[in-house]
Amino acid sequence: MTHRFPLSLLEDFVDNELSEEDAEAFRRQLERSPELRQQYEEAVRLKELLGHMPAHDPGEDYWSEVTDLILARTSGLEAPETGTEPENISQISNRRAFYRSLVSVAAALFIFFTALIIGSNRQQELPTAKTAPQPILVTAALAERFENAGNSYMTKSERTFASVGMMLIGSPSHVGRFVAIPELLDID
Amino acid sequence: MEQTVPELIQRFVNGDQQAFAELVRRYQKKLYSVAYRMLGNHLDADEVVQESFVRVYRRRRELRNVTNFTSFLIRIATNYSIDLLRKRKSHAEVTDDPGSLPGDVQLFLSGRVPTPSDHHANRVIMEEIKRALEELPTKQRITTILHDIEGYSKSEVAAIMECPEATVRSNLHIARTKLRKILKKRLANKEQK
Repeated sequence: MTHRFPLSLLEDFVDNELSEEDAEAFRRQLERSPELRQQYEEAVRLKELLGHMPAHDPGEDYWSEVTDLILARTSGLEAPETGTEPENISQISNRRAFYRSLVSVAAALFIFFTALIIGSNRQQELPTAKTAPQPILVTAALAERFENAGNSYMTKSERTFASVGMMLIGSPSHVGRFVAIPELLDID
Repeated sequence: MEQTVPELIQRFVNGDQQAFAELVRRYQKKLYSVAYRMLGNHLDADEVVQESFVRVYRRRRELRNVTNFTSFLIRIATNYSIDLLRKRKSHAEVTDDPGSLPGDVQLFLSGRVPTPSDHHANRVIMEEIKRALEELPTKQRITTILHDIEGYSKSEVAAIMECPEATVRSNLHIARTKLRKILKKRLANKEQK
């Protein structure tokens, strides 16, 4: 006899799934044990009750009605073919989604390259650093000349005009303004 | 001469609508019975029957590789029933009237002619079993319904539920033990009243 759990063995006996040898051993066990005998009777009773649970009857008309309904629902679907598998709804929607994403990627690439070309053309039109006006450098150079006592290139009034002009049109840097103010104070 | 199921399946896969209609006629009662026992009401059972056959129709290509059509069909129905049970947790509220149970079930299969009091006792016990089944976890309930009520073998139940036969045995053992306990308790309570 096997060493399985007795209740499981009991169920196998009730289900008639024990070998002849095991079944005979179990019968002997049943005769000896009233407790096991009671459990066996309960198990048999339950099995009989479950096996005779009545099925629900929806009525004779139901069967023909439901057959017609099922055939109507499937007639809308494509008929079975022996050839290639016809596409179902999900396959069609997947294909459409793929085409949509393909168009989106193409549009994004077009916009990107167009922006790249326009950007490179515009960079050529912009003034370079060398040609751009640099008022600060001019101002600094003039200031050096004003501070030089031996400078004979400009008169005092010329220097004043230059300083005023520098204040008006020069770069608003602290260098330019700082240099210009002492010159203005010298005007009589 | 009546065609066999494999012949009908072959014709159906090859595009014969009549073969499909014949398969529906042959299996609809079996499917309805399993679905009704699992869900406990006609509307849900009807939905399972219709939807299962529609799914079989859509998956007809797979039938070429299917060795057991019954298991294939019942598997689709049980899976759909489990989905419905999950979606409709309140399925117990729409359970059909238990009064619709026929009263000709003999409790002890004694062979004697049942008396009116036997009929009444049978109906009470059947109703208690039905309720006790509803208390079981889904897989244990399905295993019990398929094996003990519908009469499928353990290997067929294993194929339907896509699990090892040992799992079926285990589920069955636990379910039967629970059912015995629930029934003993309930019937003892009724006797006391």
